Amino acid sequence: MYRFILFATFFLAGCGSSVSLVDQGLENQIMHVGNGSEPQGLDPHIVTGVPEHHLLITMCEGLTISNPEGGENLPGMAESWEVSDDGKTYIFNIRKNAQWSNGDDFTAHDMVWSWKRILTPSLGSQYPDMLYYVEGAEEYHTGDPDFSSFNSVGVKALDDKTLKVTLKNPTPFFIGLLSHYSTWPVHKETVLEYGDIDDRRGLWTRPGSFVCNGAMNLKSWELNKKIVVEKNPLYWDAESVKLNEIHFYPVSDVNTEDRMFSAGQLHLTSTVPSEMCPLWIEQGNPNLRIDPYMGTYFYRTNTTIEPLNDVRVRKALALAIDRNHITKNVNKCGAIPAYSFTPPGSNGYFPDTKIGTDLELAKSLLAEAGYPNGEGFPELEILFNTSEGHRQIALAIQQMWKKNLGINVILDNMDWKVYLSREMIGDFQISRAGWIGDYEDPNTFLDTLRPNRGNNKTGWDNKEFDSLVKLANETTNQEKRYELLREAERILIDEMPIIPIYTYVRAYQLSPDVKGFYPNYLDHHHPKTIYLERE
Amino acid sequence: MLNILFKRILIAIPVLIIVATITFFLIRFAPGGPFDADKSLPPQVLENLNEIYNLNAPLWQQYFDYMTGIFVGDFGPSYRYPGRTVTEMIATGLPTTFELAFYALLMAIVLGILAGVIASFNRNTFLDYFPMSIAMLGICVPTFLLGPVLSLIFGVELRLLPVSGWGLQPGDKLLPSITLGFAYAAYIARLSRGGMLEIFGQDFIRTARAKGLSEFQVIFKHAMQGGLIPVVSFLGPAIAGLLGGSFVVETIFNIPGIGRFYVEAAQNRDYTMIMGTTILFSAMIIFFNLLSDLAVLILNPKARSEL
Repeated sequence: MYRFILFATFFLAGCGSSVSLVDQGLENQIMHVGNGSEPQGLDPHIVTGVPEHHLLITMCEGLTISNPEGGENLPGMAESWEVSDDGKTYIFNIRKNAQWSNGDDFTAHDMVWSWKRILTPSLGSQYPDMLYYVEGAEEYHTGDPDFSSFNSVGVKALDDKTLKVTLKNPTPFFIGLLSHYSTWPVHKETVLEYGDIDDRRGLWTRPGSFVCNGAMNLKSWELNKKIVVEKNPLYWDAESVKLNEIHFYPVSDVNTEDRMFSAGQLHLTSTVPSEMCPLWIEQGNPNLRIDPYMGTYFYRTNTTIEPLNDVRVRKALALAIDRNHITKNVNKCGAIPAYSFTPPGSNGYFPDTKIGTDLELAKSLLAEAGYPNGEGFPELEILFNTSEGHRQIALAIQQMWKKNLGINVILDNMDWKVYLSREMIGDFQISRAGWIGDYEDPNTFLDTLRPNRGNNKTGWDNKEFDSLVKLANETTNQEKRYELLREAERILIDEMPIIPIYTYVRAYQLSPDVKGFYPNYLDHHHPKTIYLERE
Repeated sequence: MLNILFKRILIAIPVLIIVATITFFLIRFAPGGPFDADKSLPPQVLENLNEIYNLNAPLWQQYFDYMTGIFVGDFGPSYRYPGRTVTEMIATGLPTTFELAFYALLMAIVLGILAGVIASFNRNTFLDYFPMSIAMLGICVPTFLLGPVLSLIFGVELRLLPVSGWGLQPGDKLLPSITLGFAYAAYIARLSRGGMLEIFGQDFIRTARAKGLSEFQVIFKHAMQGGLIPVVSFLGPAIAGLLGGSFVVETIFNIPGIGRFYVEAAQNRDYTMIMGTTILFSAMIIFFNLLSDLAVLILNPKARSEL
């Protein structure tokens, strides 16, 4: 027995690597990243989701890139661009030294073909609407017979290195849109080697076949285990890239990820365990980062059914919520109370709406609507997808509405997919929701609440709001445009089809060895600024 | 015996077909589909996707297509991971799950039998109480507690072993194998102790001792063959349990096995993946139960004579 223990001790000690992955990474400039779930794939025109974006931003590049330090986009494949006076025509000058990872020259024709691909209906891409601002794009995608040829779409290669894009309306956030992966190019020859233009299988994205144009290139991909990307020496700005490799681990369990970080196996986590966050804030965990994030946590109301079709009821509900209480005592991880739908500060836009906690006004509004002290008010149901965090918030709001308005609320938690399908068919009264911006502009929020937008889901149909948002997007003057959007936002908050609760933050753990990793609103981190160094 | 084997295999086929059929319709009647997402799809896109994946066909047609596919070994494409077939994904995950189950079982058998035999031989002494108390603990402590605790001690505090991965860093297979095997080691210890005690009281053991055989010979040559029958019949369900229960350990240690696919497929409504993994797990459970029944027949003359 003693011998066995002795043996086991030696065995364990022998296995133990005194040098952790984080230590080793420092020497070789290899970064280890916890990346949420296994990516659906690596085809930028097919996938959706945050883990996929973290991977793709290292391997592919659009005409512009998100500024790692936040703010206006930086030049990517296009070294410069000119905008016509009416704001509708863009001429992009593609870099002379831009090339694909296999050494092929990167041309304007590649961009045209890539946009043709994402707009091909049979591809079934989930983000074609990102390009609907381009003239003829929506018509081509939806099969309008007048636009059956891609020549009728407003994207043309004037020569190998010049791209002309014609927009329907001046779209001031168009340059911002271009850092979204759905607008990024794919290598035509490689894609066609494995299938047609509308082939979804993405066999071309496997290691060995994968060709793209980003700072890193795909080295290996072991399903559910690890994806490794390595420095691409042919990248136009390869000189700036200091990391040799990034290892992405799909870690779906947040506690496992936390242990991996604590054991020195990760430089960066995708999130933090919600129960640890308040504790770490209190103890001052030096690795905890809480960055602003362009997302809003809110409740959707179903404005097509009684009593929620009455704006006074919706407002009473919104006014009876103490948002400070929720962020301080329920969420406890740095979230910011939200008084508008668009998070303030998105690309310089600050909405001026206010939703105070005004119980008197809430009560009188409810009384006006015919429910004094909540009498006769039907039981309300809050729908949310099963999660402890959502439940805590729903519980708090349930109590506030009961105490402040005398309304009975029941909580209804559902499996994620059931929740989604009930929201989709309008089978809910109040439902928990979140929205994360796709690009840094208020339009990514306000556009969703226009009538007939698939993500509206509230049944709210306000003509004035619709025409204001539409008008704003036709305005080239940014200041004037933001004024129109602020006006739209005021209408939105006055009508309250959605009840904002808090603005998200992104909480994660970052090793002090990681340098050049800046907080930004969209959580886009271009690998060329990141390096590892120990002080 | 061949007769029994043949009969059992013959029964297995309709069982699997029934399992597949029930699963197929149950998941289709569950609300939500594979393409529902937070950001809802334009109806045009959804239509295209349903067309691509044959989800527009009548349900009976889809059922028929799917079942005929299975018989030629085609489990269809995954809806969640474009370009991956279910067969391909099972083929990448299954060897890992098997390897994990194998190490866990090996550990369970060696430690379990050792502890059980020692305990039975030293009945009502410290060497009986001590291993049996640990075994009781092993049965009671769930893997989702044991795994993180072991990780925190050996990975985070002592930095001796990695806390995640499978074949990525030296020693990363040790903690998951121990975590998964521990409860089974405990069961095996208790079963082998009980089995051995029963055998020790029998006449043929007394005869062996009377012949003047050493205790070592008595235990290993005579007692163990009969004493371990309960253990052997436990092995079938144990293997099935190890494989089926591996997803907890796979999640805790971030192991790319089949268990994680199974759970995620259900959450994602990845219809074909749910079907593929369900059929696979059912087949494995049937197979290992059959195997352990056969082993009992070989070991136990009493059971053979009852045929």
